[in-house]
Amino acid sequence: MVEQYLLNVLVLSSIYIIVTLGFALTFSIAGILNLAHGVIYMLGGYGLYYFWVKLGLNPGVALLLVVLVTGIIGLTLEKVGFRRCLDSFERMILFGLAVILIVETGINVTMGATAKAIPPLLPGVVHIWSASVDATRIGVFVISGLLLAATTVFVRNTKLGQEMLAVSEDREGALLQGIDINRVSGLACALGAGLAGIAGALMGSVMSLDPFMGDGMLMKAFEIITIAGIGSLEGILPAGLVLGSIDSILPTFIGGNVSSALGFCFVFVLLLMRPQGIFGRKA
Amino acid sequence: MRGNIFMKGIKRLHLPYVIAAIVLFLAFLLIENGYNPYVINLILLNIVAACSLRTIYLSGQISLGQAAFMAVGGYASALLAMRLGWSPWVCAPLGGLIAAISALLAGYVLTRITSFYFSMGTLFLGLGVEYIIEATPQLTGGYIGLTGIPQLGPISIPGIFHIDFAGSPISQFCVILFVTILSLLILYRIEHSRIGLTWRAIGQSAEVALSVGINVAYYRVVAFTIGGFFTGLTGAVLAHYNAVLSPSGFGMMGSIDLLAYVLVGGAGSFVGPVFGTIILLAIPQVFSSLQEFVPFLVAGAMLLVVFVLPRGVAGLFANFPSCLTGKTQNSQALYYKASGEEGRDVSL
Repeated sequence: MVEQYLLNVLVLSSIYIIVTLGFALTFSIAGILNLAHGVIYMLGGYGLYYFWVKLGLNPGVALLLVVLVTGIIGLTLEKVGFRRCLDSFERMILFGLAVILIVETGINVTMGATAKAIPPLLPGVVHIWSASVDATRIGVFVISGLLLAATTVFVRNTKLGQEMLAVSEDREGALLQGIDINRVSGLACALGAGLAGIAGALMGSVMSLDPFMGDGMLMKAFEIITIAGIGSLEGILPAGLVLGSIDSILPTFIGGNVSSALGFCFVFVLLLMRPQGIFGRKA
Repeated sequence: MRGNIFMKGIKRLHLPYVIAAIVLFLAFLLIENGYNPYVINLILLNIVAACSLRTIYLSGQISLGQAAFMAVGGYASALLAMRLGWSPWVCAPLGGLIAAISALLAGYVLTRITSFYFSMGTLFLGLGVEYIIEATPQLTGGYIGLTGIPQLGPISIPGIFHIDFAGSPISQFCVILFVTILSLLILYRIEHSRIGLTWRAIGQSAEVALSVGINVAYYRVVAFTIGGFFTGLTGAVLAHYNAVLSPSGFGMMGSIDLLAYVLVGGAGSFVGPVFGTIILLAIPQVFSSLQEFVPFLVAGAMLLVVFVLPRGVAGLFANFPSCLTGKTQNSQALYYKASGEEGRDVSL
């Protein structure tokens, strides 16, 4: 029984962390508050449905395609829209909102608003200790963990990753060092979007798809970033675990609505007392 | 400004106000001839909400949770009317007052933190109110909501007179029009008073305002409270008009919709939100035959504002040709405050 809860926590947390990481990367490196992050997540889910169920491709190939396509979408959004809005917060919000409307309506119109189910990625059931869990959930957790590790390694050890860190610390300074900030920003957006896309695909295979699943996830990303702190990427891991635990365990005891309300109260109070989050740097 | 006599003359006529008046007159004619006034009333009330959001925006704060105050006002008024049996005419302003008090409390705690976190805080407030309403079904009817809310109908002073405003669509429209115009007049007067000037000063640069001795936090809380009152009043009137109330319209998307009305219409002028609301709410009506494709048009209007009309639709009236060049000096200051430039370090 406990194993079931633990696994649910791990699966949900890992999805939250991946999505939030993508959002935070976009925000820190490219300086973009990407409201469209939620719909990219949703597109990832529908992309998996399309490539795997509709086109009949191998699920692994479908996942790779999802990452690629969502990455390209992120890159395009940054280039076409967000880059022009860097000087104005309001325009950034409006643009993100417009993208949300267009994508959600597009999916709503073409795919219908009813929830769609994807067959499980990995068939069968795995037995751990005394619990039997879907192999898919284990797979989701493993893939997420690998993604997280890969992203960390990438940002710390590769030249591009270092460039991204530099741009996030000091944009003009990075420019002076000869870093092409447009290229780096675009790639950071692509990375963020790709992470969102694959999270959507993974979540879609565990749960179901609907055109509006991105909205809730965007809110979770905001909450996790608030807990972790705006500038902190490593804080996202514990914050994601905390929120994932709350959201997995609490609803079974006190009902979904109350636990959402409690989650909000917690984040709100945290914001008031320590707006830079637990791990953030700015006082 | 263009040294053009024609343009100067037009400006002096306060062209946007003239247009707004004409639109209202047309609406009146339409309703008189049997057109369903629901959307028009909705637009009018949302105009008030959008203008009150702009009032808050003047002092440099971007509130992403304004729909929460509509919910507070609406639910407060509805519950007072239903549980205590008071007349809706009394409950609606009380609803606004309760919303104002909650805005006061929220503003008091939120203005302590910098603008970007303030916006996040209002976002969570918006979400939180929706969650809390859904989580307390005994009081608020949960996510099913309340039904059978009394209308803003009869006023009767026994022995003197009795009018029932709920009698016909045109009389209901008049009530809502009255509330709208009264609210807008009050907001306009406040904005063009000393307080309004102080707000503008704070909005342009909080640091400079502080250095001149203005109590920035105090004035911001005042702005937030006043904005909260009118938004709450809107929510209350809407609740009585609809006779039903549910939390679904008051969540994150509701707040962001309000912000969109302000931004599309132009946050730089008082009449901007009026245009924004009308445009964004009227598009679904005018093009209702297109059904699910309507959000595309709304998104198109937003994109138009983002790329072509940075000062919103109202910017078209200010300096006719130069609005297209995208000068956004006011937004520049707000961006630096709202985005928390220093907070974007990455540590890994």
